[in-house]
Amino acid sequence: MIDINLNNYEKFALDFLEGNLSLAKRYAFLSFLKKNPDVEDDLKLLENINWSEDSFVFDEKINLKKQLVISDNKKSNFDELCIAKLENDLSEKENTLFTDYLRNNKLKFNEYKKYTYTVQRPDKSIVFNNKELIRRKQNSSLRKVYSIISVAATILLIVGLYFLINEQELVLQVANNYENSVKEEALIKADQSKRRIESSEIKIENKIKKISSKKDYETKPKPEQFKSDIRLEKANIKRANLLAKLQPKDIEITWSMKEIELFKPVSNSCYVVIDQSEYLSLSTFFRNKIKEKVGFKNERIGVFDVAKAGIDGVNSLFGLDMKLERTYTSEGDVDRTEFSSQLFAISTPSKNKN
Amino acid sequence: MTVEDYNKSVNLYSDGIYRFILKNIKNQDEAKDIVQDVYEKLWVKSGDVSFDKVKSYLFSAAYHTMIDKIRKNKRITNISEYGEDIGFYSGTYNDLNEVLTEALDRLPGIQKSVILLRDYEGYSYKEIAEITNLSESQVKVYIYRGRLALKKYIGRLEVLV
Repeated sequence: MIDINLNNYEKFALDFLEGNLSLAKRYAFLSFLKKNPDVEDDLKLLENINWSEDSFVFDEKINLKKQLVISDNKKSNFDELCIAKLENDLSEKENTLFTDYLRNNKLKFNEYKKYTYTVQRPDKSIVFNNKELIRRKQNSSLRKVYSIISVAATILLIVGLYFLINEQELVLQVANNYENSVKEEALIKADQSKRRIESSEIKIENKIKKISSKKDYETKPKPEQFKSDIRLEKANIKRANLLAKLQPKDIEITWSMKEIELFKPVSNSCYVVIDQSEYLSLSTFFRNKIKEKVGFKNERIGVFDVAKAGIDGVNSLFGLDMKLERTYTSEGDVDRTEFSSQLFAISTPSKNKN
Repeated sequence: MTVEDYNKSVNLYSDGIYRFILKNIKNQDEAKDIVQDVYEKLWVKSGDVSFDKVKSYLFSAAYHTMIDKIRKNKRITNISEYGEDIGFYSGTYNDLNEVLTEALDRLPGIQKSVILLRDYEGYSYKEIAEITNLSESQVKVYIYRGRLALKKYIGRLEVLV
């Protein structure tokens, strides 16, 4: 709303006389003049001032001046007003004034009505039929729940496994990797010792056989060329007898981690070296640890076994009673895998089931 | 924008965009292609466009895609052309919509677009200016010229009504 008052009207007055005011300002200025007849009189005086001595007059002023709302002359802004009304661009007062004008002038009203027909109405029967092509699939809430459960279950299993295996052992295992070079050296030495023992055993057996046939040998005539050999043999037999009396000494290798036994005595006389590379891998360690803790008999451990171990670990950790079990068919095939807890239970058929 | 918002925008605005484009280019297949292109663009930009701005984004993308297609097809040489006299209707009036459709088709592309955006979707001058990359004043001028031309084309209303 344009506020024209006694303090600021002068700046509007000149523009008003020169026809430079916008429609809204012009209307506001006329309202102001009505309220202030003194100013209106002053303005009339101004209008009549002869600005130049020559008194050149531009006769077409009337055509240049903008009308408040409408005029009947040829240069009317009627079209502009019609469109402004259609577009709701008129102020409330302008709209009232223009509507009154149209009401009192049927010809002009009909002209305005033509403008109203230019407003386009959307044809609602035209619709885009391929909406399905541009829609995107939404993740169902159930899927989200499954995702959350999966993450929670994974975390629980990891916690369970961690608890099951014991933190200290893990640390030791990792630290033990740094000692691989030392262990390799020990293995080589142990292997050499084992070979020496085996060689000694074979020799002893041979000597014993020779000793048993000694009497026959001595009764037969001795060729001269074998005399020195016999002396040598006698010395060997003496040594062999001494070796036979020897007992294999227990080789005890003490590791900082007792659980990893690189050597296992299978008899008094020999040691078996367990394949080092396989045993020292982390997966082997976990596999053996799970077997040991949960008591699996199968050589191969699958996801189910790991999950079961994890759940057992969680049960021990939190004192829960969750169960992960498999049911089997009469042919011995896995039928279903079932999980049960205090909160919920899931049963899923085996994928390999025929 | 979530997938839900995106699909909601499909339900809410795809018909309007299709109508707007179809009215402009008069080719159903191309109009459908443009709608699909526009929603593909929206999906790619879905992270950057919020739901309250999606309508404006869609119409803006649709308008520019349409202009590109028109230029490519050389249907019209200058989309900004204006001031063309579309003549007046000299036949007998059977159906007002038919006459208006014919009148609208005779308007220069830019005038037709701004009038459709204004009348079909009720956009403000400012919004139309943003969609079409014009100034508000230009939008007003195009709407004014377009309506004036349509009114002239309708001609003798007394015969019609």
